Amino acid sequence: MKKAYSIIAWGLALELLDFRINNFDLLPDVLGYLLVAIGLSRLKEGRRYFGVARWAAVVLMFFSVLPLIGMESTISLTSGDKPGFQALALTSVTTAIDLLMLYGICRGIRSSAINRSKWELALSAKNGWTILFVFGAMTLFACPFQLNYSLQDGIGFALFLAAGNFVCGVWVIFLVRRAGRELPGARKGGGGSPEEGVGGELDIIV
Amino acid sequence: MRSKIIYAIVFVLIAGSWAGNIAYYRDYRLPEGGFLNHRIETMYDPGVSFDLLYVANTDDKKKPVSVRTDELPSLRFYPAQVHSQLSHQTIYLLRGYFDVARMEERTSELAPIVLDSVYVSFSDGTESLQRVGNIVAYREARPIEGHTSPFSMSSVSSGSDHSGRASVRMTRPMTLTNISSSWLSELGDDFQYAWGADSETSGQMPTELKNKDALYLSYQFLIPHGSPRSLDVYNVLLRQDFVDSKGQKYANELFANYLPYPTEAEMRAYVREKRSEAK
Repeated sequence: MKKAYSIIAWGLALELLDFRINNFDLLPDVLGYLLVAIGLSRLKEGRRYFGVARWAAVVLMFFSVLPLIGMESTISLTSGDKPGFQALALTSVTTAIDLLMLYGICRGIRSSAINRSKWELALSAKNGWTILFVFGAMTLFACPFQLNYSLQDGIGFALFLAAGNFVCGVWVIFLVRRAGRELPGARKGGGGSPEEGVGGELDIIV
Repeated sequence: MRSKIIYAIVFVLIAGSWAGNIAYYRDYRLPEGGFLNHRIETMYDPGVSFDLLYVANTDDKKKPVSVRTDELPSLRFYPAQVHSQLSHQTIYLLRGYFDVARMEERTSELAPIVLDSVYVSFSDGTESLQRVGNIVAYREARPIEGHTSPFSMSSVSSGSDHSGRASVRMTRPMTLTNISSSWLSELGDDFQYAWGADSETSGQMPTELKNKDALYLSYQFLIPHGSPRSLDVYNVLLRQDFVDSKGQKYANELFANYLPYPTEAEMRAYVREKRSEAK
């Protein structure tokens, strides 16, 4: 199970980070979402929530192909260009589905943590999701204002949202890594407590 | 239950933000791009230029590139440049000039050419005939031969408040007989001009001007913001007619330009008008 969480964490990192040379993405998002979907499919416990996240990742995988066929689905904070309706709509849809994916991941980890009495991890997943949701909701609320106002009119708020979403993205990666270490079924680094050992069996049974 | 209510409220807020912004966005989009209303007087001569303003939605892919007209074959346009950028619309400026290489000779003055539409070519390779208002191109004899100019040392200046002034010095005694433009009666109180000379004059025309006298001419557009013509483009040709002691007639021209810089409110009113016209 630790490997599954590790795959998810790598997928999320690929999705979060963009290294571009002449508009060519060296770390394509499609690969990131594929890894997330593969990792989530290996998790048996919390299947309900992880299943939601997995399907969201699959949908996002298809959306991430759109830039490769010339459809603009991102908004640049630095280009100075006013995004069109299509770019804003696609950005918002992918943000909403991304939020759904992160909800599934956080909720799945929380559910697994509660089942294993990992209260700190469960609380961390819950609080983290709350902050994620606040930033995601603010982004979705603010996005359509770019139809009528220049990004430069609210560049401070836009940078705040961008930074907040990035920090939340990094935080989820750490949460997933932590879940890989602490949740039962991890073969190494689980702390070796009796509780985790039981969890490992339960993980196989479920 | 509590979290479901919160999610529902957030969903309603986001949906409301999208619905409101889309409605506002659609309300302030031009049905199609087009020229502002122009009142242009120009001389069909090399060295003379005038500006046309084309307004389009900022996110339109189709942008104006150039203009042509069959009636004025030597008319050429510099590449379009942004004149004014508003939140939803962009106004492009197209500066027209007459290409001397394509200018035909005219042994005598011809009737002016009056245009109300021109062909516009766009960035997507298409071309369409668009209404422009009125362009009047005067066609004097070219080149003017047999007469030396009775004027020298003219100076011209203009200000950002749509005002300007010019002076011209006589090289021999002349009589100023008239100052005119096609748009003076239409503009009424929205355009004022004044003239004076070094010599004592009564302020009436005709008036005698001595050799080396300077004639001063100043003007100002007083079109108030929000006025129906505040988005019109004017190129007023103030033509000063002279006659010398032998009865030979001369003319000197001063171009008074008015290029609007609309406010957001004026542009919204313009868009509303265009949308209601399109319905």
